[in-house]
Amino acid sequence: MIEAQNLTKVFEDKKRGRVVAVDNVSFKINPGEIFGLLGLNGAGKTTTLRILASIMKPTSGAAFICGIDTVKQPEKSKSRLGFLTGSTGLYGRLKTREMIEYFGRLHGLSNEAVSRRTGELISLLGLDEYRETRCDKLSSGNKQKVSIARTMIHDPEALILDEPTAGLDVIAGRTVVQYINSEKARSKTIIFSTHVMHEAEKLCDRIGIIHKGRLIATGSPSELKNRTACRDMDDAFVRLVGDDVQ
Amino acid sequence: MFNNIRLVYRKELLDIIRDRRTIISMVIIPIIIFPLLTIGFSTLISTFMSKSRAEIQKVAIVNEAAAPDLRDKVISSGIVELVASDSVEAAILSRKIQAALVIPVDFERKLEALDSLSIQILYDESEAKSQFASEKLKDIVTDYRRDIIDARLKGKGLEQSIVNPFYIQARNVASKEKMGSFMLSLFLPYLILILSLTGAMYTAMDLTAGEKERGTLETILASPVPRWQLATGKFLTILTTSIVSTVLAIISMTATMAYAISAGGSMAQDMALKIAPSSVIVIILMMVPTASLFSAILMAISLSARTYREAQSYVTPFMLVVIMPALVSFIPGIELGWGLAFVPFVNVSLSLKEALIGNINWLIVGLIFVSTALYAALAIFIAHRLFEKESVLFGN
Repeated sequence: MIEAQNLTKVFEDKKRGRVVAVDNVSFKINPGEIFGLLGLNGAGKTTTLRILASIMKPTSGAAFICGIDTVKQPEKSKSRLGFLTGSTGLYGRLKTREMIEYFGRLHGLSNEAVSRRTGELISLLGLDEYRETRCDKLSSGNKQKVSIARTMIHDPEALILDEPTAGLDVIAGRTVVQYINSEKARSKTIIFSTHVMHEAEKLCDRIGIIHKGRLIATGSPSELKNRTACRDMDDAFVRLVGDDVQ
Repeated sequence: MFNNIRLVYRKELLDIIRDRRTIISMVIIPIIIFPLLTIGFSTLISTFMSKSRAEIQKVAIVNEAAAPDLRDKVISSGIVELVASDSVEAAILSRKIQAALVIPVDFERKLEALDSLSIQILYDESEAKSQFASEKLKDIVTDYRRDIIDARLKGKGLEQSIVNPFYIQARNVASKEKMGSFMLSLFLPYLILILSLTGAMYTAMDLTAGEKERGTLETILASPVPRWQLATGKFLTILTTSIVSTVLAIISMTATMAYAISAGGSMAQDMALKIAPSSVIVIILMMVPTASLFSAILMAISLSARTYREAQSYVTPFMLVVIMPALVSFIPGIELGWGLAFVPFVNVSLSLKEALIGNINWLIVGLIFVSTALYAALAIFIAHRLFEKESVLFGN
């Protein structure tokens, strides 16, 4: 379970003054559910996800991963979460295997579990050939796969996946989407964020649209389309955020 | 807890060792800098100097007819070439000639009459070749003067000892070991301060600003390792490269000196290499807290930068701040007292210097150790606090 309760984050910016990046955002995602968090760049999506991952502290409100407070027990809540975003890069000078193993160890897995999980993820994601290749020598698609393996190494109950299919070709993208679906079937709680609307529509049980720091709409893809009288998820999104954009 | 720190430390070390830039700054530079600085540089200077000196400079004599004997001596010396010149000052400044003798018109008459008189040597102090020419002319004129004195004494039937009642001899009573220690006491404090700084510099920037730039900071922050443990692992990595660098430099320096002594020449006659165990203890007591202090300061500074390049521009001024106190070991006469014992870097430099020449005041050494360790603890505390700050980690 992932829960946000009235999350608010205020930054003091030298140029812009007081910036409310996240404004009173609340949602609750249950095990076995994929929640799509959609928003334009700068909408407050990344900050929300960072708060959920205990990388940032909220100015007010609270967040919980599997019921664990992300501020009061950050290490404990992080150990139940897999966090992948566009800004979680790889250590270029580590090899694929070393990178995945390192995070397994940081999660406190035993040596035996580390090598077993690493082996499983490497073959699942088709990285066998690149096992001993330094991460900075990998193609962007393979880098993304290593990041996914790094995120999954401790078999977390909750997942935050921000653009996990970015940079992947169709086949690799499918592998990842199938993997996400199989994790859902194993009752994982998943936040999936993307700019590709039809991907969100296909994968997500519910979608939340964040705009200017506020969660302006939540509902299943068909609910959101009905509400906006649009046939297409792209149009529905633009309609919902549109009043402000135009 | 220690398991996490060890994991982070081992990974950071592996990561940094795989980078060619680290190997250059941590291993290659410390090993070559001292031989290059001493043997390389001094060989270059002495080669250049002896070459310039061996050249035959052009000189002129004003009123040369007034002192034909002196003129003949100049010509027959073979170390300068006498040429004719009208306006000698202009000729020296335009480098047509390197120096000139100005002889009074009534030189011979005054000499006969035992009147006081003077000969001028004109040269250009800002030109090395002109300086050499003036030294050579001075030698020739001094020789000529001695000839005249000899002739005068002989004419009066007097002995040399009339004008030279005794000779002066200076003898260095310092042992060869003491001379060797003196050399070490000049260079080693400087080397230890600078190398423990440069050894930490690259790693500090790479593990903080470099990590921000490559986007791996957020990855590691998402791991369930408390931030202070991440910061500690990073700090220990920086400290390791700093100490490795410094130790390599010390080994390289003593090896260079040992080689220079065993190879013979002037160094072998004058000095021998001997470092007392107590000096080694002082070196360790000074080096470890100093390296910790540098590591923590550099970590804090470069953590505040968003990119590697930005970190470089913050670190460079700090390096200049350290170079001045590091140079204090070269200044003669500055003694370590209770006042200077509290000045960071200066105290370390001076106590290393004193220890190497065998003057160890354990009370002051202990005080400097404790004060440097306290400064280091403060810097480590600040670096750790910065590692907790969102505005530092995320840049706004």
